[in-house]
Amino acid sequence: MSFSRQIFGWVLVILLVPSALIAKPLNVVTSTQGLASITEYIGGKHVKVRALATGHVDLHFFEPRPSMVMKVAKADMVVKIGMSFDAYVDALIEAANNPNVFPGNSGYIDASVGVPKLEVPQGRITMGMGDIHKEGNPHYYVDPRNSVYIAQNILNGLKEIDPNNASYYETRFKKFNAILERKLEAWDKVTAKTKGKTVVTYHRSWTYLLDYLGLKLVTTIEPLPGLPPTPKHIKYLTEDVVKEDLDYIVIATIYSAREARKIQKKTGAVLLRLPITLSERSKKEGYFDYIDSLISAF
Amino acid sequence: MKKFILFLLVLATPISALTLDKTFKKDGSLNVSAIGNIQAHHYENQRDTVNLNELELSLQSYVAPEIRADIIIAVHEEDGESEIETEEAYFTFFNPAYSILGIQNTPLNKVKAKVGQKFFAFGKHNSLHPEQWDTIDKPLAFSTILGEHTLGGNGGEASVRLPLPFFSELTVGVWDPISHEHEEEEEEHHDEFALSPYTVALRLWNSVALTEKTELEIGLSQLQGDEDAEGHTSKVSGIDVTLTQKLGTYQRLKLQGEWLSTSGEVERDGGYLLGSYRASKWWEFGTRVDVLGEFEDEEQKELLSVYVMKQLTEVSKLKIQYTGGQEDDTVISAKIIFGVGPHSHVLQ
Repeated sequence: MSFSRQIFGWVLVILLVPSALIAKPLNVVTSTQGLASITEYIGGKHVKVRALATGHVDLHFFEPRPSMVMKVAKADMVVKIGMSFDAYVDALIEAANNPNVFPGNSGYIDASVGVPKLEVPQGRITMGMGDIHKEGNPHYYVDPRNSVYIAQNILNGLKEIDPNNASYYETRFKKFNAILERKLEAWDKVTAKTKGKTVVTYHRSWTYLLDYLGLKLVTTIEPLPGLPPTPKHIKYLTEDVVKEDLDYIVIATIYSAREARKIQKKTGAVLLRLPITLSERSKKEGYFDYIDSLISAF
Repeated sequence: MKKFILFLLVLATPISALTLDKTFKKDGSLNVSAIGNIQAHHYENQRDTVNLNELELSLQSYVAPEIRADIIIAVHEEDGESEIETEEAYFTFFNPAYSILGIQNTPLNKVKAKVGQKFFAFGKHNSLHPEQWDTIDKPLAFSTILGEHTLGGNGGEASVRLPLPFFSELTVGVWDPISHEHEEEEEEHHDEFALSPYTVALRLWNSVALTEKTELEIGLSQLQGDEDAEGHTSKVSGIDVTLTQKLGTYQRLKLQGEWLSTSGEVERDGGYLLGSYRASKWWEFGTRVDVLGEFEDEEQKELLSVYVMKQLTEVSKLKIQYTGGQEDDTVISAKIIFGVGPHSHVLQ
């Protein structure tokens, strides 16, 4: 081999080796900060994750903006809550025209796949039932047991997109499960305390959490999902519901606490105002810190 | 057109069930949604009216991983009679270079195409359905110059996102515009703009996030038709600017202006300036100033509208609007919009 060929060969090696070693992390876009956190748990150093809805947002009323298209356009993977809760993600995918994340392709992750759904409407859905989702209650992510399904769906997507790092993702998934197991054991003390106790919530945001904690829902401050409290319903809450042996009133921080305070005054129940999602302010904290903050409030 | 819609319907259902994998079937199933709006108007010098202004049925389904069918059928009141009309019925090919020609990894793969019957991508207002409008009525310049019906036609358009550090989308379409019978009568009086067959529609839509909570959109649009028998080339040009400022979980301020100008047989211009404030989850307040330029013996016209919107539920709302100006233009309108299904989230 001539000297010039050797030089050429070494130059090629010098150029190629670092690019192979320093592989670019996958761009992952999630609809919420909570999903972003779980994706980071599984993807570790091989993912760069950005959430679309940050801060204290109500996903029911979230308005996607054209500038968000740029995030989705560069994404290798998009993770959404699904169950028609964050349908704006699909509008952004359409505008971004990024085949990686089209519905059905490997970069499109519906985190709700496999989750045991609660409050799935039976029979015909009418407007008289309020704002319900045909797939069931979509607030499944507040039950820590469901984080396994979320993490599994994310793992499946990452393995398919980036098979070279499949074992890395598997290891991270196992670690995630181990943390969850430890946490569930610790939270057992709380579930033992809350089991069978009664609760009033504002919206049906906490159905899955109540199910986990063994709490019994008496009623909601909303007369129907998505409807603000009517005078008739407030009368029912403040005259009839207060006669119940009520333990907790749980409302998300994005909702007004006016009616909740009225009920609290008459019943002495513990009023809990909980964050509806992992917010931007607690970005440094992860999914487990968020669930910890919910459960430890009881 | 009826055959085309039937074809879409027939195609949409079984293909999505037969040809797609397990995950895709879950996400690609047929979405059906309905949106209705009931309007009541109190005019200063006319009979009051209350009617089901429009009931819209939307069917949407992926027919292949990168092809989607959209059909929007509307039932609405026209001169006191109910009419069933296909508002839009089209296929979206997200990657036609690949799905039709089998080409991969080229700039052509960034091009998206829509084929069928569709509203033109012209400005901010034209491509929206009535339930998506901020106000109850159409801006004066749109309803007077372009007609009460949204500009739409049969044909196709291609869109591509330009390689810029901010969102910038260019859309080019070639259309045979749909004319409406009652409008044709007005066209004879030359007070309404008419587009010739083979109209070319262009839109450049840009959006920049100035901060995490502030977004500025600027759009440029043009419609250009053929020369007619008398040598006129019909053309509409438009510019739109929207500034959105998020102020809280629900609070949002929006300022929007749109101006359009026609040339050809009818030469006229006009526009609107809209300001809206979403005060809470349940309330929004807004105002719109309309300006319509002079034309033949008509003087320049201005209108002021004020509206309040009460969100009743996630998918239903009540709007009340007062519109006043010169002459006998005072109208008080109310509109209830209700919806069922996943139709409510769109990027506008």
